[in-house]
Amino acid sequence: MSFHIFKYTFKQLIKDRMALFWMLCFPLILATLFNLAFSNLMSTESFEQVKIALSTDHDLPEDLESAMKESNIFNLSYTTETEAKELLANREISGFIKNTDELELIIYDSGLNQSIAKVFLDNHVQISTTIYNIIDGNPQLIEMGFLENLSFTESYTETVPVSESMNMIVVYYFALLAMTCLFSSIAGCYAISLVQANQSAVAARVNVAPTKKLKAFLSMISATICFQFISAMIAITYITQILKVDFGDRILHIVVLCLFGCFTGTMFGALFGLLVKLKSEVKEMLLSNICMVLCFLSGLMVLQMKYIIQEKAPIIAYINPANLITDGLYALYYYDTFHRYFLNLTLLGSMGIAFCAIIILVLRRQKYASI
Amino acid sequence: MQVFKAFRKIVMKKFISVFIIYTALFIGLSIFFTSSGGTQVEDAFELSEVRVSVINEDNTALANGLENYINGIARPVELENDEESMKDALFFRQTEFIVTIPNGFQESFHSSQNQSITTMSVPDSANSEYAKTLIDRYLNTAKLYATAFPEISFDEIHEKVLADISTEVHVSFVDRIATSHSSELSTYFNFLSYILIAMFISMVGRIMLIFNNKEIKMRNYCAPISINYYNYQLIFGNLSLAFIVWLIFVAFAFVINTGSLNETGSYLYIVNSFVLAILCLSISFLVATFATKNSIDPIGNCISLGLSFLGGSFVPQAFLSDTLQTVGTFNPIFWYVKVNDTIGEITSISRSTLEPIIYGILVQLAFAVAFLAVALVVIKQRRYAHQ
Amino acid sequence: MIVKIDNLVKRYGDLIALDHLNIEIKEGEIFGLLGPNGSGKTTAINCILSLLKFDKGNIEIFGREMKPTAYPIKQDIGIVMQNVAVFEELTVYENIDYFCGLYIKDKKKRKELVQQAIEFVALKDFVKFYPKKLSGGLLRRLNIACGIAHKPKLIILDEPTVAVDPQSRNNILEGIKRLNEEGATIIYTSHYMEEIEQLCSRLAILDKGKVIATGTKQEVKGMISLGEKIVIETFNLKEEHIEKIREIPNVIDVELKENILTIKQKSGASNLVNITSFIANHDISYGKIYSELPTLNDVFLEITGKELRD
Repeated sequence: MSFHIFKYTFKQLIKDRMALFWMLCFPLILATLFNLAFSNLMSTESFEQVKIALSTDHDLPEDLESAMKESNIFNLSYTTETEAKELLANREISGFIKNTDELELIIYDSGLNQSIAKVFLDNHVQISTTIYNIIDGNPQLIEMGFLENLSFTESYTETVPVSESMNMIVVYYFALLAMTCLFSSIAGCYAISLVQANQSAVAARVNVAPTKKLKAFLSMISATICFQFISAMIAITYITQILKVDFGDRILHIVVLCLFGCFTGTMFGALFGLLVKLKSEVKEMLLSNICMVLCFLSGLMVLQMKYIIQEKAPIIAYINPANLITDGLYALYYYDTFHRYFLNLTLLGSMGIAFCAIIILVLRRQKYASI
Repeated sequence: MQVFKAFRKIVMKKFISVFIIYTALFIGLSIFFTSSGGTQVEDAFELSEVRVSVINEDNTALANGLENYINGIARPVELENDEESMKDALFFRQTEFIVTIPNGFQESFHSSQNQSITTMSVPDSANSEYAKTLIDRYLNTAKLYATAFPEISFDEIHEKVLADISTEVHVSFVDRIATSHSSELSTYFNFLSYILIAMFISMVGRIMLIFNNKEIKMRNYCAPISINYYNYQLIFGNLSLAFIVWLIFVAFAFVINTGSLNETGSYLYIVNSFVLAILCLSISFLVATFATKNSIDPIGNCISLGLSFLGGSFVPQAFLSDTLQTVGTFNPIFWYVKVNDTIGEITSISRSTLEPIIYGILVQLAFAVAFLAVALVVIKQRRYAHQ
Repeated sequence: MIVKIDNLVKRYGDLIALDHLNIEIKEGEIFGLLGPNGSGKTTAINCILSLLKFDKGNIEIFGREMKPTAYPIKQDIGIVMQNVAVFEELTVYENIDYFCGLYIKDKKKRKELVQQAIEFVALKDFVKFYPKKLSGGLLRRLNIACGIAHKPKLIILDEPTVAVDPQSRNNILEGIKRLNEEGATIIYTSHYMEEIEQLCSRLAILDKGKVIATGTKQEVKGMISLGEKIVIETFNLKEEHIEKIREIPNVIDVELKENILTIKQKSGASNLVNITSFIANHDISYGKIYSELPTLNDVFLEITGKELRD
């Protein structure tokens, strides 16, 4: 390690406005956009009482009313039919029930709330049919007191607690963090171009100086990782503190994962820069596109993508560093155990180390066939 | 036509790749969006299909009966019986409700200490309430029969229960005319706004950067053609590029959603998207006046993602926060999406239904004119500054 | 011997870039590598610096074999590239400090050296500037400062004056002379023969990867038959006169172009007198008359049959 090179590489990154934008500002901007766009998205999922109006034009069966009240599923109101229609048109209620000749549910369009109401009513109507059928088949049952012991509302289900952390939207932020970490690959690619004499004039200078190439490279890489890590930390702070997105309380683990992510991302970029023989702008463009594709596959744009890949092509999920980061963060957030987190961390780390090993091997070749 | 020729050459050489990338991205994503797309509105009532996974460990007549019943009424999702895949599927909402029927469930059904069916779901979700209602309904009825006729088999009970459950309450709709298909088209065209704006800034913006290059511009100004003629050719070039891109994507819309071309709103979508193309063109004109070769990508990304996110291209406008809906008035894309949504709900063409659409389109055009005017002023200012 | 290149061969596929190159550079001299574009100057430099693989040959610097890991050798080499090799994101001062820091670890000493380098290239007023804001000449000077700040014993300058205005060019050439006076050995490549003539004590002329002439300026010029060129402005010269001039002793070649008569002669005692008396005897009216010593271009022309700057 040469602190001198480290210092100047770091300085360069800070002064490079493009790097600053892509590595630091872009994730923050995206996070803000996510926050604005998705803030109302999850609220539609949680259960709220179904708003049902009961038409007062005709009497309703009494037991229905009491059953509806008891069930605690409905928010009932009593209105005339005309009023109810108006409420319905304004979508203030999900539907209303009237009882002209038979029970009828009037709705505006199909939906979950409407389905709940319908099934409830179906159930209510059906139970009387069932009892009629039973007594019809075995009339003695009435004398045996069968009707007194009837229960229609017994619950047969028992909920297994899954996790309170069920907010799917956080995966967007996780993928975003993965992107932030992987953007370090561009800087890694740049670092390579600064030590490979056949890639830039500056590198030729570094090569003729009495500083070991590997040492120069490692110092640059450390600065890159460091810089990227800091921007990841800023992104985390911004998302959790300012946007108030809940990442759970295992912050230290998140930090470690991000550090690994930056390391592997940088190494990936460096390896790419080392092996691909193209103009530097083309390389950087390619690299940022690859990063975006990797992030896409881990759910950055379309969240379900992550699940689909994991189910349909688990191998891709396991070799995609973006997914390893996202999945590690997800495991921390959602699971109680650390098993999956450490699996991801190990895979990510080994990938980075493998990249690093290849880089060191290639870098040892110190002369070039052509410049 | 020298300028136009150069324009065409540059487009062919440098930007065809940008075009292909965006097209591929767009086609991929739009297929994804439409396939996972929104619920269709139909004339007949349809029970909501909750995605339910049943894991049947019991495999008895009762358990199988329940499983069949649930699978018939909900959308079954196959899952492996291990905790991790169950939990993952639940988190990503691939399934919304997981039912595990434990071994020995039928055995204990008669006793008062019956084994419970364990369920996993997103806490407090409406879907899980709904699914629980369904399960309890089946089992309560089955229990009735089982208590009343302890001697009959569970297969028979299943038959009886199914017969009873088919009793339905009459459901009717409040007077209105239902439409179809338009929600898919609406999603497609909403998403188009992101693609067009990103693509135009990336293509037109860069081309304009080349032509705006100070040295090239000076050379052009020195040539014996009038500045106006020069500018007209540039504008003509950009317009034809925009037109071609727009045409391809509009044609593609109706290739994906075959047969939707002759529906009421379809022509309105086309008109609206054409206005959008002009709007995006003028935005990219403006961007090209202040962006540089290095900054055009970040700026383009921010503007395209920002306007589309805040305008509701990706997420339905109804889900946007209230502040955003107010701020959206200043966002041309918001107006575009709003017009699309209005078209989606349109049932007949009449003066009253067309009015909000025309208004929205006019607002977009006003935005386009405004951006273009600012761009022209900036260009002019710059020219004087150089002299 | 500071640098010794022995039978260096470098091929790019079928193309032989360096063909058995032999060069020796002595301590304290300014050694010029002259040759047209594509003659192999930069390739030779890159081989000396161990940046390029070569197919055959030996390179010794300071009497030791040059290798990519020969750090003690590298410590004493300064290099100024053909292309400006500086960081866009760092200021003038930071750039010099960065590259100097690759050689000098001691902070205090480095600070002094960087200051000296800045004064040397007269960039004092621009230390806080970013390279983007510097003019072409200033940028070249920064490029040089980055290469020489650590006071190397051997400085290699690869066409440092390409695309530089005449004033900056003189400034740079003066600087190189001063560096040499301070004790550094200098290798200077260029395709401008004027620069090499003005600057170098010894030189090698390269063409198609071969050294076609090497030695001191006088030695190189002595290698060709041309000793003197006499140029006369004439008005009534006839064909028969030209034929007669050819018969004058020491004359190699006579050429008449638009009233300008150029006579090439071997070196000899009374060349000019012979010509002037011939002109006087034959009643040839003439305007200006002057004698030129051969230039490096003449050397190149005679050996290769083409001009240096094609």
